[in-house]
Amino acid sequence: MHTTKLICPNEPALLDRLEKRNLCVRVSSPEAIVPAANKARERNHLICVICDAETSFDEMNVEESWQDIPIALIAPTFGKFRNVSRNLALFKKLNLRVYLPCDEGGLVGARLLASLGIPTGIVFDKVPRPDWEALADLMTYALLGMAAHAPIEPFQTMADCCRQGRSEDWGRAIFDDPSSYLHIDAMGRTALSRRELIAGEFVAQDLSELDTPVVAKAVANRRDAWQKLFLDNHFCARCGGWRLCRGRFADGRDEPDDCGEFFQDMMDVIEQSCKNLGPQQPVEKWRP
Amino acid sequence: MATIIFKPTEACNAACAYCEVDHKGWRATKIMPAETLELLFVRINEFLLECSRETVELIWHGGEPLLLGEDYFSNALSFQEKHCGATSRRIRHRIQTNLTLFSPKFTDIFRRLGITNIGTSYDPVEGVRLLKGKRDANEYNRQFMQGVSLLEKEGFRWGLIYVVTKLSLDKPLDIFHFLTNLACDGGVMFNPLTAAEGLYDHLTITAEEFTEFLGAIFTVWWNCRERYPRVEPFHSLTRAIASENHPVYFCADSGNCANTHINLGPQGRWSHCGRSADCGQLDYGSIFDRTIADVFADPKRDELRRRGEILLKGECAGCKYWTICHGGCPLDGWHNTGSFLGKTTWCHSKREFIERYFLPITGIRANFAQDDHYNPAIAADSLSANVAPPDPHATPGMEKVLSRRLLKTPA
Repeated sequence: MHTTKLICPNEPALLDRLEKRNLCVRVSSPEAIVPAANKARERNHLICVICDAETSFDEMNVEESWQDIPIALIAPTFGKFRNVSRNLALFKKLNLRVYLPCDEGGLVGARLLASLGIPTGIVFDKVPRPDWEALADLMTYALLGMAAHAPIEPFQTMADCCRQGRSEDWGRAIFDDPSSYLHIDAMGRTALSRRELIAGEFVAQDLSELDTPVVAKAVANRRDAWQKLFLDNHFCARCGGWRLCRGRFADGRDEPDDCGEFFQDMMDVIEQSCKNLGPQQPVEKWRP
Repeated sequence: MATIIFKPTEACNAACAYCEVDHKGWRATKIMPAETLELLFVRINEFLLECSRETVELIWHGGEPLLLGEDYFSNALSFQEKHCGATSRRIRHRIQTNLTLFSPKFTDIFRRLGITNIGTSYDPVEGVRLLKGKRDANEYNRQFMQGVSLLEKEGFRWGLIYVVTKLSLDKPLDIFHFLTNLACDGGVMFNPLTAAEGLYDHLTITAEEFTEFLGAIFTVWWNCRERYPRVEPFHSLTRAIASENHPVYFCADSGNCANTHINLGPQGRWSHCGRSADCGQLDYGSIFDRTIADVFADPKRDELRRRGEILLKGECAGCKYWTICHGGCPLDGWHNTGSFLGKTTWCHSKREFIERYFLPITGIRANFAQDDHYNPAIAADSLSANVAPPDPHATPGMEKVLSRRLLKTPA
């Protein structure tokens, strides 16, 4: 079995050319989830189905048949909680992680879903100027919230790495780390990220090149790309938030953004969460 | 533990702006011949057989030791296997390299030598670190980063030394973050530039400047000290002040280097330490004539052994910080006064740092006065100041140390 995970479209001709691979199959509608999972499992190991939906999360038709399928559900908006609440019991049964956009509704939705025990994720590196204050609030809830709740990505992955004393790319939590995931198009061309796939920036032109040193070298170069920021003495290299962000927001920025403060806050929160891990005595609360 | 600063060559591919070895004119020196290298392991074996509870730490230094090539290290291992059959397990290898020549061909032999933690040095300030020849800083930096990549890919731990020069003084926090970001999982040690007077005056800093440099970054380190695993001199200083158990000192503060350190140069000359060899002091003769035990018993070391006693009765009498520095590095004393029995320039710096920054920022109220007698035994373990900090995970976390003896936390 190959170890690198491939993210590919649900194209039967492409999937037939792959064997004994770890696959994430990308579909664009919830209805395609089950057939895509079945097809991928014929000859490969399914990591998950990534559903890049166009409909709002609250309007999706959730199905019982999703139950044995790991699903990353990427929704453009959260929608209304009262609509979502109708399917809560089913959501809880599914192996589902809901990715929401980094806007006001998405942040609120992520917190609500997490509080109900549904794992969530926030896609915030696509936004030119995320609302760092609002993100800091969600991150603090994710890592310090005392009431039981599901993990919120990528905060959970970042915190886990940090607690284990590892400083590494957390992009895998949002499928954006070529050391973990390679992106393939319908013609079998390979890119290091979703953005590069869409832009047609490929490191291999055919599936037959997947396991060649050319791809391995491209992945290694990308893994070491952070060094350029140090060679250029970029402000990210001198930022106190580097340990967590590792320059992920450096592109196109000529001056420091509030991201540095966010990641420094996050380190404080992680350190605080480590100290809070001990057993806690419940305090009896007064009642009116 | 005996520490041998081992300089099989003083040649270097770099032209760092402040290098004293470079100033010495290393081109006249040679690479240590194989027979001398072999004799070193004979000497180490003799010493370890004679002293059954001792260990030897062999620190490969230079010059740039990677210029020797991987075969030289393999030869060293062969000689160790040949001559140190019964004592080999008490020999530890470490290395201090600029990393610009580090390549996959070294990784296997380093592992076989038991080297898991590599010390290096770096300076992001433009014009300080250059390659020889074209004096190319960009190429130096690029090669250094390649070395870092390889270290991390191969799973070596690493830490780095930063030499504080005049060019560093206006950006202490930038430098602190740059280096601790670069060596995220390792240690960073800040040392002042201590060149001889008249040499590199445009780069050397005063004790006061060093104090202020450290003071500017200490608050950030102290507030996030679990985040930055091992930043020196803060980590050791905190341990020395807050730990009631046996603290581990760097050699300069141990007051005990006469019993622990020894240097061997490329021509087989013993000296006291790397610094004494660089400035042509404390020559203990040739490896061909003298054993390691002979060198440790050399009468010149008696003066260094008496140094603590003499300072405590004289210039350091009544100093409440004695147990923090034990009079400091004898070489600094010599640079300052012309005598190994003299006080160091950095005494004032350390005192100022403790009083102006360390104690007010940490809120620690340590009872320094309780230890105002000289006890060399307390300083039996010392680390080499010219080698990057060891594995931070090998010592208890700072919070554990502090929880043992934090007399007062900040109000």
